[in-house]
Amino acid sequence: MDLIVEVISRTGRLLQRSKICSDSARVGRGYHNDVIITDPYVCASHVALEFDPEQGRWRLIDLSSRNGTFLVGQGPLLKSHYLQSGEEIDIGHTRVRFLLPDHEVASTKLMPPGRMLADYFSSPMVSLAVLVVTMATFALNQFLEQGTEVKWQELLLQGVLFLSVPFIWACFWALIGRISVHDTRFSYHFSMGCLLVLWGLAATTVLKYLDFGLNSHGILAWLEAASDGLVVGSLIVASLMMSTNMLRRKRWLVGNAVAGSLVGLVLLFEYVAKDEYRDNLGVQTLKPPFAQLSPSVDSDKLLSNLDSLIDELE
Amino acid sequence: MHYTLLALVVFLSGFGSSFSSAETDDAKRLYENYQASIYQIRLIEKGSGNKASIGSGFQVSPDGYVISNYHVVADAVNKPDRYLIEYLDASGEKGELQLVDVDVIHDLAVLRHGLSGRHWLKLYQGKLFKGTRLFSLGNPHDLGMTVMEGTYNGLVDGSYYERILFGGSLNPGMSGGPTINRNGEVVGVNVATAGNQISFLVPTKYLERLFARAETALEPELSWNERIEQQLKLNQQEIFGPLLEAPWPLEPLGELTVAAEVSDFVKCWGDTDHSEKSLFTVTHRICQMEESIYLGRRLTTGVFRYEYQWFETESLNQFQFYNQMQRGFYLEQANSTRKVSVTPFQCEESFLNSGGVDWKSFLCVRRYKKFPSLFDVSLTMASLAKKNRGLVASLAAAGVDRANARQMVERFMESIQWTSL
Repeated sequence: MDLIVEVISRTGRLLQRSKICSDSARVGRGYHNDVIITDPYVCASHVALEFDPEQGRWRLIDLSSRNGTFLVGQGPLLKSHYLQSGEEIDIGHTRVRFLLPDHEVASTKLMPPGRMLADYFSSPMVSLAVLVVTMATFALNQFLEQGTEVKWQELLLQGVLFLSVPFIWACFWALIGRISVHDTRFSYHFSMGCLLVLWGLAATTVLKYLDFGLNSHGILAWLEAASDGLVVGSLIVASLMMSTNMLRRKRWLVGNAVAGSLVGLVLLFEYVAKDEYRDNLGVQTLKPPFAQLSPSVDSDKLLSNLDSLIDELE
Repeated sequence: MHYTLLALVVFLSGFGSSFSSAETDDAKRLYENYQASIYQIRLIEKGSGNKASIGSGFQVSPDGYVISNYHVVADAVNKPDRYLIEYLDASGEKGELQLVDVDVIHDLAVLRHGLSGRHWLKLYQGKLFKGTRLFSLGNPHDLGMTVMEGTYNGLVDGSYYERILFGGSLNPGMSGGPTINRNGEVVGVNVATAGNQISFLVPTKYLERLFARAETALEPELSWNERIEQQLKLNQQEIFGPLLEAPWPLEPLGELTVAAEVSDFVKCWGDTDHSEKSLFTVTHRICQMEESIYLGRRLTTGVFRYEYQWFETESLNQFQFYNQMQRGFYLEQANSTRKVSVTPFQCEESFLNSGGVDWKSFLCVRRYKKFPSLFDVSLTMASLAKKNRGLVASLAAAGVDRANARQMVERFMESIQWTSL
């Protein structure tokens, strides 16, 4: 009967795996062994494994090793021991696990949805569509900013120049991916970069309208910082997933740390470095009449507001 | 029109001296006769013991009263711990001067030294005619006592605080010095220049008023800040009282009528932007009282202005149009100042219904730290009545009290009237 011998770390991580296809095998540091273990505390011939056809089980025999053999959870091996599938031993500083071919394995995991979405965005057609949408949105935004006659070619050119942001983003992550997992995935990262700038554009626009319509400048600056933090954080997680072998927990940690620092920086500028003296001066937001979301006050109310402002100052 | 005050702040003076003195016998005689009454006024920084800024001054009475500009000694008024005032006379003798009184509105200061029996100048009481030859004395750029010849050109047109227009050259350092006629009588105090032989003098009537007040008992219990605040309050009451009572003349702008020149001393300027490529037009009207009151380094007050910008378009959609109108929708400070002198602006942002139309408005107020009853008030409002035309109206008044701030804002809003809705 076959036997699987695994060398594992104390935390259970697999380091080396061998399959024994005969009725006996040797484990030790010497090169004559079937399972060779690189550990100076292990003897050249440390243990032998023999299949007992009568019992139908594998037997572990210590070959008079200098440092002995220990059954994990049971103590030292005196002479020989019948193994059960999944049983572990310590020899020298090395832990070895024995498994029978019929040992049960965990049920199959489903692919994470993020990965499926990632494959979707890796498709060149989807990537192209995202590119076109991004360019069109930017061009529209530019068009609305203009007060002079503007040619569509100029808008197109600006749109193309604007795409340099996602392009640089994609180059960076493609390079990282190429180096660490040999997978460039340029179109995926480009799509992600486009989504980043699209989100930024959309969030800024919506918040400006809310700022105008609700007369609430202060809170919206916070919201904008939070939204930017969220989107940058998620994108970094998405890019790390594709470009590195980083574990999921670590990815989230890095993504959140970057997003958190970003929000922190904005708040720092809002509350520490901002110039209160100049804060209220300069150009204010103005939007078309339909964006008015709160009711108008009359002149008397404005004058009483003036009184309360003066009261606050006194 | 921007005047340059003439006190010479030594570490700031980097410009060359280009003054012409067409010396005549009169000038020579006058200089010789009256140089003993003229002083260089120096602010001595106590830490270093050196002069930090200079100006000029002259003695007006036998008992040691010396006149100069407020802006020459302003640092010593604002920071008495840091500066003391010193005179340097024509013979090179130095001595300390005591501050007796100031008139910040007309930029005058009365000082006194302890010595008596010195030379002094009389004030001229008669009438002057345009073209009368005058002689200005002072110490420009710390180069030495100088006499400059020029002519009397009457009072500056449309100015609220009377100033004599002197057709002669005044240079930094000559502030506070006298301008005298051929008989050696003072007709004005050197105060500012607009360059190219256009200079300004404070008429002697303000000097007489201040001097009379300085000689009689003052209110010694009041600090300098309190005295200055009183002067400012009284002055803004004198300006805004009549202005708020009188009806405001209205003139059309776009589809509205808005205030034109509401007083003789308020000047309006206008312009229409319409470049070839532009798809909208903006018509501006900006009206302001151009004279400000100097209170200290980078603190002036007393200015008020109102501005209207009429935007219209036939080809922009409403998103584009309001994006363009936003460029004119800003809040600015009415006067030049800095953090140490005023609190930050406290603002209220609201939608306002005025004259049957909705507006987006920003109303901001800040207080003078040293003069707690005075405020700068700014209002800016943009109409939301139409998709392709609109007005941005702004008002800024510096150094007004609560009642005047309120009334100015009220009158300003009332003065904006739509002719077609």
